[in-house]
Formats: sequence, C-alpha cells, structure tokens
Amino acid sequence: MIVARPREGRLISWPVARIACSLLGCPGTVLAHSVFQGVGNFYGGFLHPAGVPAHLLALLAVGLFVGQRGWEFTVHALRLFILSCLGGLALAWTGVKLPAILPLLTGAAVLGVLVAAGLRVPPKAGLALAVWVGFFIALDSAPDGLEGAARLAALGGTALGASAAFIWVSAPVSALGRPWQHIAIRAAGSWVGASALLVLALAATGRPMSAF
Amino acid sequence: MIWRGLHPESIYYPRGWSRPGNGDNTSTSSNMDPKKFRYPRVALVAILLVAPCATSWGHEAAGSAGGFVSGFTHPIVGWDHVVAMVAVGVWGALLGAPAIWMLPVLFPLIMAAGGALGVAGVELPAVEAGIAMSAIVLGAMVAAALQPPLWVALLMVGVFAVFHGHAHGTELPQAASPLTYSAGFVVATGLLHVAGIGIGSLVRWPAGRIAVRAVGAAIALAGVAFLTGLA
Repeated sequence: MIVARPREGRLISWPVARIACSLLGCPGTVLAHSVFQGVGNFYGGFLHPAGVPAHLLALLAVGLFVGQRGWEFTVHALRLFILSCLGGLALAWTGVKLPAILPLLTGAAVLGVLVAAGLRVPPKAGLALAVWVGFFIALDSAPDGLEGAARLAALGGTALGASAAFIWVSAPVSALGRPWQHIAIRAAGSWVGASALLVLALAATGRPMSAF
Repeated sequence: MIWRGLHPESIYYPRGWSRPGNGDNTSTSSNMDPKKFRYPRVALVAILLVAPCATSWGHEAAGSAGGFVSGFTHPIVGWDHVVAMVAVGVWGALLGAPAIWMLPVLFPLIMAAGGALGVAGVELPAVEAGIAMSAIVLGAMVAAALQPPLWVALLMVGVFAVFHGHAHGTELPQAASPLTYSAGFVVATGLLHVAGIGIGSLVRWPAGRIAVRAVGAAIALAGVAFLTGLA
C-alpha cells in the first residue's frame, strides 16, 4: 500500500494527498439524471457517501475509531476498508439489494460508543467493524438507472470517495496528540453514537428505513 | 495548524523574547495542579461559537421541518435548554478534571437514552418541569460552588440528561430527516456544553470565580421563572 507514515505535524502523507487531488480533476459525461445535477457519473459516485446522512455518519464513526487507535492501525484498517468496499460494490454491480441503513447505523452506534468510552478493543474486532461499515456503504451505493460503463464509473467513484473520506477523517484524528484533543475525539464519538442510537430507537418503532 | 496556535505553549515567540512566567520560567505549583483549566483561549472561541442565541422563551420548536438546521436550532431557540446545558458545562469546569470532560462525553449518550424513550412514546412525568428543575439545581450548584463526589454529580446530570433527551426525542419522529435532526440537536447541545466550559474557565481568576457563581445564580433564577410560568 503506497501510504507513508506522515511526519510529525503532517496530517496526510504526500502520496495520498497527490492521489486525492489528482482524482478530483477526473472528467465525466454530464447526464440529466445524475444524483448531483451537472456532475458526471464518477464524481457523482465519489460524492454519494457525502450525500447520504447514514453513510456520512458511519464514515465519521469509523474514521474517529481507527484514528483514535493510531496511524499503524489506520493503515491496516484502510487496506481492509478498501477491500470491503470493493466487495460491496461487486455485489451492488450484480444487482443484489440488502437492507444496509440499519447495519450502518448499528455500526456507527457501536463505534461511537467505543470512541466515547475510549475502550481497548481487540484489533481484529476493530478491523471487523471497519470492514462492516465499508461493505454496507458500498452495498448501499448502487446507482439506480445506470447500466454498463456509467454504472461502473459511479461504483468506482463511490469506492474512491468512501476511501478518501475514511482517510480524511482518520488521518487528522490519528495525528492529534494533546490531551484536550483526545477528549474532543471522545466527545465527537459520543455525538456520533448518540445520533445513531436515536435513529435506531426510531427504527425500532417500526418506521421504514427508506425514510432516513 | 490552527488548533496548535490556541495552545498556550505552542504560541510563537520571536527569538530573544521570553514567555510569560515567574522570571526563570520554571514549573510552578499551578502548572502541576491537575484541576487547573489550561485552555482559556479554546474556551473563549467556544463561547463565540454559541454566542448568538435566539431570544425566545420556553419550548417552542415543535412542528419545525426536518434537517440538520432544524435539529441544531431546537435546543437553542429554547432558553430553558440553553441555560441548563450551559450550566452543565460551567459546573463541569468548576468541578475540574475528570468531570470537566466526563460530562460532555457522557451527556449526549445519556440524552440519547432519554430521546429513545421520547421516540418510543414512553411518557415521563413533567418533562418541562424537569428541564426547569435542571436549570434551578445546576445553577444553584454553580452559585454555591458545591463540589460533590463525582458519582453524585454524574448521577444528577444523568437524570437531567434523560429529561432533555426526552424533550428532543418526542419531536424526532416528526422530522423529515430524523438522522440529521438528531445529529443537529446533539451537536448543538455539545457546543452549548463547550460554551459553558468556556464560561467556567473564568474561575482561574478570583473575580472570574465570583462572575461564574453569579452566572450560576442567574441560571437558577431563570429556572425558577420557567418553572413558575413567568417565562
């Protein structure tokens, strides 16, 4: 994995920064029925996780969690996260539709509470949670109404967007070192966990998941 | 990065300038005091984050449209929530470590539990009165500068968190976007705590201690006004 350990004070490594910036310039064909009007399929897929609140919450939760556990853990988790995204996207490509919002909110709630508590979690369990989030974000990102190359572009954009969001959250979090910053991370985790728990409570009352 | 500049020890001093100290820049007892509040600049910025509160009385945000902004404004348009949340932050700052950080970390989760009760339709007795009582009790704690054991403080704040969460949770199902609504009011509540911690950081000065206790008294009086229906 071409991820270098950042120098003291640097938020993300140069290879990751260059890749992220260069991909923002990727062109795409403009279609009338893109999720975001005026952008192509690839960029629409890239932005898709940011447009779905449950995805965004889950990405925040997993980024806080892995970042809180240090840079080495972040790199391991990133590798598995990307693989799980690709697995989820492969399933989405074949048209498999599984309920994903509830598992994502559950994962976000668990991760948020773990971040807030600052508990020591076995590394494999932490990596499994990251894989869980990556898989369901990818699975839930199937673009409706697109086929062939357009569908592939959208799904590829989603893989990149989710991975980029993962790094954009976890790398700065892993670089924070002062005591008040550790407390701020835990407070952010409790915010994320509380939001997810509230919506899970609402889901438990029988409200359809599509309404979230 | 910006947050480095807010830390007193990371402020840039030109070569040849000495940092403020007692002349020889050695550690003093206050530097070793675990209860000393160390980040007044961060706290002042935090106050500015929630300074513009709407002037509205009581619990009026019912029926508002969904979305993050709607959830964010829900605790802020009601003065009963604002004063109680600020009181939680102030009391945490007064109690010092570890309460100063345990309260903002635990409060949203306990509030979520109360919110879950509200979402499920479980009736809590006299929620509005409970919110007013939270302002009275926490304000009185600050005014008297009481420092009970940590578990007592957490228990008191936890009970009030359930009431506040229940009040927000009952309006969650009407929100068009429940997830962003819940994220909005959780974030707003957290920022109010931070603002309260910022105000509470004034206790490092003797005059500030008096000012903070006066703020606590004002919060308690506001709670009485809410409870009696004057506001």
